[in-house]
Amino acid sequence: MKISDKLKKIDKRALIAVVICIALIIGIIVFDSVKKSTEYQTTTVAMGTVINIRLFGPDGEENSKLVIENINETEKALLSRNEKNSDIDRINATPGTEVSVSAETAEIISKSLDISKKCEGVFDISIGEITKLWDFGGDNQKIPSAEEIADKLNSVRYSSVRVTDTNVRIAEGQSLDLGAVGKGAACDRIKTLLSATSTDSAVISVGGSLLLYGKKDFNIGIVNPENDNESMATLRISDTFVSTSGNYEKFFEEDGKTYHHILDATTGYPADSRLSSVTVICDSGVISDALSTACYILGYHSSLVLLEEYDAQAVFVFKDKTVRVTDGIKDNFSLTDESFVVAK
Amino acid sequence: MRKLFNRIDIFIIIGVLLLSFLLFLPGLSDSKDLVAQIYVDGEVIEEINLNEVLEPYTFSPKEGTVISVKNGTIHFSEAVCRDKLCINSGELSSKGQTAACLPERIVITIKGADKTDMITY
Repeated sequence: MKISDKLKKIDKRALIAVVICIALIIGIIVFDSVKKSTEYQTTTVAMGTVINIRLFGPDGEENSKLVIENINETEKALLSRNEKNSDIDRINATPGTEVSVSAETAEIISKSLDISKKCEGVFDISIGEITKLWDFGGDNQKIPSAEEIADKLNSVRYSSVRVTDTNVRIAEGQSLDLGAVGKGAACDRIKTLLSATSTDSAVISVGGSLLLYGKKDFNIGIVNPENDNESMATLRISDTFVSTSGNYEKFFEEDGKTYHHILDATTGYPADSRLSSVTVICDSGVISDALSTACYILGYHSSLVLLEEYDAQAVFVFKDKTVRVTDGIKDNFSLTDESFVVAK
Repeated sequence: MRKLFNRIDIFIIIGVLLLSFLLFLPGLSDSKDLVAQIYVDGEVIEEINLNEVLEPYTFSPKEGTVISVKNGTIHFSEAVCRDKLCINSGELSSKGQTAACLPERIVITIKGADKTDMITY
């Protein structure tokens, strides 16, 4: 064999070796990115509602367990009024007395009171005595008498709830019900938890209130108020919180009339609204949850100023199937059910 | 260069490069199968490929609760709870749909996502 032929053969072997090495490196890079995007999905029941968890990144199973523990803690240690010795239970048990609570509970209450102030009290976490009378979804669900409502309505007054650092005091006769912000608060706490884990991105539903975590864009469906197995529109969004309040969620019928669970705190009765649902998108779970309730009660026009104050966006679905979308989210919104019409 | 690589070498090189991608690409195992998962107390107790169900049948994951299965759909058909919300959820037949009996802590969900990643309600 000539020397030049030998050289060619060596070059060829070396080149093939280089190509295989490159292929392996590409393989490892692709494998790594796939590992990062590995999804773990699970469903459970917690906080009296359905929890759907989709985590993207390594250690999904372990991280999802942490998420579920965190949700149970939000309910049992902080916000449930039916859980003995939770922060809210202790506040309700001793009206007129300052109760020391966790910093998180104090912050959730402060944020809720701030929204009450800005919506003239239609949303109010001191509505506890009224929600007890209606007991939506509970064993004593009923239409309270006008006298019962008039009697308890005096106790609904957010301005009587005092928060000083981590001490909370309610007035005699009052009780707190954080049902309208509990799921959003759980989403806020999960975000803090996930930021200390290896999770790249996640979408988590706590009974329909959502946390979208990380840079990944998600397609979020807005439930069809007439068929809760379907969505009527989608939002393409990332790294935010989404909450919806709708008249279809908890309700009962009596004498041909429907009573839904979204109570106007100024009247003690279900809000008389032209809306079927309001979906609010903003950078806080508690605020998106509280705003969706407040906006449902206020109606479209009165909600716009409130939304602007919190830099929040919203989708309003009316009973006549028209839809209004705030400007900041219009480009991310698309109808999927053509029986609905976007109002111009 | 042309003499350096003959046709077989080039096929081998392209083959190795393609394999390095394909071996690790997700989605290869993605299927159009509708797989229902039944959770009790947060644990999957049953996984059913709804496309492979030939004859309709029912089963009871917990006393008093009955789940009905037929080709392509699954639903709660009997429940002990007062409000029967789980039964009213109707038949589940597409990916991402969920029905739950909260008092009994039983959830049926169809695995995967279809048009949406999650639904707000």
